[in-house]
Amino acid sequence: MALKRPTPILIALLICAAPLGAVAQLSEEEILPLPQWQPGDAPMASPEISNMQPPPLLGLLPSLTPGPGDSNLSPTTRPDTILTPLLTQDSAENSPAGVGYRPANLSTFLPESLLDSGRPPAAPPHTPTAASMLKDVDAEFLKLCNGSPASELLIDPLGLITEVLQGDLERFLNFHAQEARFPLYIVVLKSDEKLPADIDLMAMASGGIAKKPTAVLAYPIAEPWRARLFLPKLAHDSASNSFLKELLEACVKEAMSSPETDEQLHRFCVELSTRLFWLEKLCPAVRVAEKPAVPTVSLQEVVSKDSAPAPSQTPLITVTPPPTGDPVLRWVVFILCLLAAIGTTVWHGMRTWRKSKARQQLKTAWILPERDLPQRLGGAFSGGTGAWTRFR
Amino acid sequence: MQPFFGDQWVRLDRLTDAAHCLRLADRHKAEMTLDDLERAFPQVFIAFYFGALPSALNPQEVAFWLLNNGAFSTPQISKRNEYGVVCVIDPAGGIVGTAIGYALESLLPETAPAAILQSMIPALGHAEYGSAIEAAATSVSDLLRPLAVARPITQSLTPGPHAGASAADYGLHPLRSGHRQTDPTPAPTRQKR
Repeated sequence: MALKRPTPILIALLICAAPLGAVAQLSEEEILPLPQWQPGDAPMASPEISNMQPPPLLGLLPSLTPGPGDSNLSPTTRPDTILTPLLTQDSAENSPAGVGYRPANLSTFLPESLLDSGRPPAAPPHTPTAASMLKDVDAEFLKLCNGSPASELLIDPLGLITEVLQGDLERFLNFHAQEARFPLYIVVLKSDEKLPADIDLMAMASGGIAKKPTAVLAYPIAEPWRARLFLPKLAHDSASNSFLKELLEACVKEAMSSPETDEQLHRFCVELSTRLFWLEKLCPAVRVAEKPAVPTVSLQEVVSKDSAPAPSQTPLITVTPPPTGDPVLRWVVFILCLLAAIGTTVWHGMRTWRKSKARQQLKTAWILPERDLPQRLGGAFSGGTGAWTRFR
Repeated sequence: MQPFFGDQWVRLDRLTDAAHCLRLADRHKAEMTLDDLERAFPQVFIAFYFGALPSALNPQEVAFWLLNNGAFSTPQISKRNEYGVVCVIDPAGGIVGTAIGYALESLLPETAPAAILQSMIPALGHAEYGSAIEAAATSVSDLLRPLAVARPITQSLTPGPHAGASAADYGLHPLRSGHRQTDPTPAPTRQKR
């Protein structure tokens, strides 16, 4: 009963306390108000910010493009639904992340200090080395190249390329060597260096080049137009000069499409690998029975017009005279053509002369002098001067 | 000639084909040839008469009479017969003759009529009368051109600066310009007695 007595009192107290709790909640809201957004408070996107490239925060933020792992996410958390990237066909220059990617303006949402922290410094544009400034690689470089293992297809003793690209290229060249008939060795040079004229490429890679038909590429870093390509003599003789010229030009063009030096080398190698696959289809197959016991492997450089290393070398692209036929027949045709031309000219000249003469006659009147003669035979106008004859 | 043909004037065209030996194409071509000749030599004309002649007359005599008694219908009526050449051809008799006026006689050599006939004979021998007319016109032109003086033909579409004095300035040449002018003074009135 003691418990029953205070129950109505407690209920009354609770009823009275409820409005007080609401009043206390309202007072807290008045103390900590929510931010009030006005139409003028929206951040203004300046053109400079809009044109900024995406920062390298792909590791910190979810990918802006749908990736392979995004399929597991819910529709509300997938990147394309969050940031709604505009999937349009942009050029490769504006879309480093791939086709369909449009740079998002992250500066709208992130502080400027965070955006600039991961940006690598922009590399200055490479200035092409003048021909007079080129120098031959030193003996130490050649010694290192010759001592390189035969299994290493990428010969970069100076470490001119980045470690990431080196790994990529090694894997790529190994794959190429497994699939292609002619493995590809790449010798990376400095941008102001070139191979000496009397270099023995067969001694490189611990003699690996001399053991089997291989292709050797001497690539000056950042200057793909000076790259020199050496092919096995069999492949060089099997392909036409135009094919080899187009091969080099295509590789240089592909490399020059990128301003980054590492990307240039990568693109050059990919294009060259593709072209080498095409080239080996042109080469005749060597039968096992015909293969000599000691293979005679020799390299022949591919020379194009744009990258001819030395003028003393005989260019492969020579102008062949047109096929000549029977000289007598050619002379007869020449004389006939000459006579036809002369006849046409004479005919046209005579026609023009006759026309001009007739036109001149129409514009000219011939006036005879007047002389008086005494009348004869009673004729007022004629004195009987004349003649007659028989015509039959 | 007068006892045979009389002394009456006769009207003739440049091509009088009494023998009906000229084909229509030859006639048109001959008319163009004669037009060119008369344009080049404004004073000169050539007339051709094709017809059978009396046996008592030779074609030279008939040409002489036609030149003295003929009124030739040339495009320019002002041409005088003194500068005319008349050729008479008898296709049936196989004879041809020519006569020239006094003006041409004074300029051309004596062998000129014979030369004109000689140029016609090859075509006449093959009964190609149109070609004979062209040959005669060419021969007369070649004979006269060294003796003439070339003057440019000025043809203006607008009247000249001195136009307006007479109708001739506008190309209107009166037919009776050679007649005596009528006396503008009034005739004296007869006085009544």
